[in-house]
Amino acid sequence: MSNTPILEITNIHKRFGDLEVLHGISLTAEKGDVISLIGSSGSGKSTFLRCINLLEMPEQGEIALDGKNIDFKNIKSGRIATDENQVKNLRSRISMVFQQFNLWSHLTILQNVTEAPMRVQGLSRAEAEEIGMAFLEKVGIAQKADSYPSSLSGGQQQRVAIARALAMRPEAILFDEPTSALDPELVGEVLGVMRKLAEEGTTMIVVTHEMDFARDVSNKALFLHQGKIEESGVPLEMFNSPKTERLQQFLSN
Amino acid sequence: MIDAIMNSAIIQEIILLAKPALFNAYFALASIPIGFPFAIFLALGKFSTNKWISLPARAFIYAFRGSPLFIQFFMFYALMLSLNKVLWKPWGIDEWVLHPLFIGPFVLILNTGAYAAEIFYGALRTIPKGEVEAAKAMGMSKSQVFKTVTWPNMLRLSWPAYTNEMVFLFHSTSLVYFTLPVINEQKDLMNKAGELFEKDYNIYLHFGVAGLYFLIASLIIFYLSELMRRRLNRHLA
Ligand SMILES: Nc1ncnc2c1ncn2[C@@H]1O[C@H](COP(=O)(O)OP(=O)(O)OP(=O)(O)O)[C@@H](O)[C@H]1O
Ligand SMILES: [Mg+2]
Repeated sequence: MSNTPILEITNIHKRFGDLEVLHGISLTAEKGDVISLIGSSGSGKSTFLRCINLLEMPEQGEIALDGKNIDFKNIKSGRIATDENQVKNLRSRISMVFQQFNLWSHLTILQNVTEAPMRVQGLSRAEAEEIGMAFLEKVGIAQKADSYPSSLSGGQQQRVAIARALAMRPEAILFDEPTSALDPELVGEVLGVMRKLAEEGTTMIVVTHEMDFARDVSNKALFLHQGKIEESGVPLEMFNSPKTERLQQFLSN
Repeated sequence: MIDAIMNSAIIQEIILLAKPALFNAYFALASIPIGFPFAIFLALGKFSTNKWISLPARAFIYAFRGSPLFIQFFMFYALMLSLNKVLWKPWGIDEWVLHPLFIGPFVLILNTGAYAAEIFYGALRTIPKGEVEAAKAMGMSKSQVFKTVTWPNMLRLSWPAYTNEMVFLFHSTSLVYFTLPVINEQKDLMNKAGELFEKDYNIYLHFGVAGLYFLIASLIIFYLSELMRRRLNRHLA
């Protein structure tokens, strides 16, 4: 049994123009890890998450999926991936769930979950629909398979987005504040699904402001402050006895 | 009774203008199916982040949106004529390329290409960024993102404006014979109505019926367009 981590992110630096927003962040995700990224607004949580699947290109740092580094090269305008296929492969194996759901509005719920498996993984419609329906059932929304996203509540849409991510049968899922755009009464249904996934051993990296979720569900937490990891560890210990003043402050807010 | 109706001036006029109407229909039907994909290429070109693609597309769109259509017809006809000796004649295609049935649609395609490109370009700029990002994040290639997100959204967002463009294009077909020579009694609605007008100065009859043909053509375009619009918006019902 190998113990190569699923994701190994090393020393990520990212700047927007003159503003460096990430100053060397690293993270290792083993199979079954649920890692919470916490920190105040503007600390760089989303940017870091988006660097993991290269929606943002970090100027420095390495990303290894199953022990295999993505290759980069420098060109005049900055750094790019040497092989576009490595990027596609990384993204198809690490799914993402967004704060604003970002469902494809002109496609039905079922089409939303079958589109990428068919296009990217080359599944037949029948295979993709079977898998898609199974995951829609898992997030409790199979009865809406033929509806369009606009007819669903935010909580339902986010559950569809989770099913869409699961339908790729990824090795890990990135969540960027999945409940922040939801009305308070809808937060529970989405967190419920995420708890279930965590119990089943799904590897997840979650940017969240839900401290209860971070404490109860995740086994690692990173506290970001101004683009640096200020403190990291086991959430329960971190939250009960924060070592840094900044985390103390953050938790008391 | 039926004879009386058939002999009425309006019916006679409608019959008289039926063949000329076919020329307008031909110009429109020859231009739209080619102008549409051409416009999409131009729009994608203008939208490109590569300036060597974007700049020529911008320049083309500007030139054809920024100048009157009838000048474009004159210029192209003059250009084609001047190339006759060196190119068309030696190649033996002079009768063909100098013919209004060729130059007409050719210039209309360039013109509607530019106008429609601006419409599609505007739509490209308002495509929900999050939907594009979600497609990328699933590992889709550029062309897969285009098929899944860009294309359907672009079409939906641009459809009302593009419908207008098709109707304008149909109306613009009357400029073909305003600027190019009429060959073998091949006259369109405006030519024929003008010719009839010069005989009896009955402006209401001749231009009224010609206008009626344009109204009917517009109605057909509006109707088909509406079916398409409903299809493109079925997720918003
Ligand atoms: N595309 C961009 N262009 C320029 N600056 C950006 C861009 N994206 C993010 N930033 C800046 O980078 C910094 C980090 O932003 P980021 O969105 O990662 O923070 P965050 O921790 O996710 O905050 P929040 O909790 O509000 O979501 C901020 O100062 C932000 O203004
Ligand atoms: Mg954020």
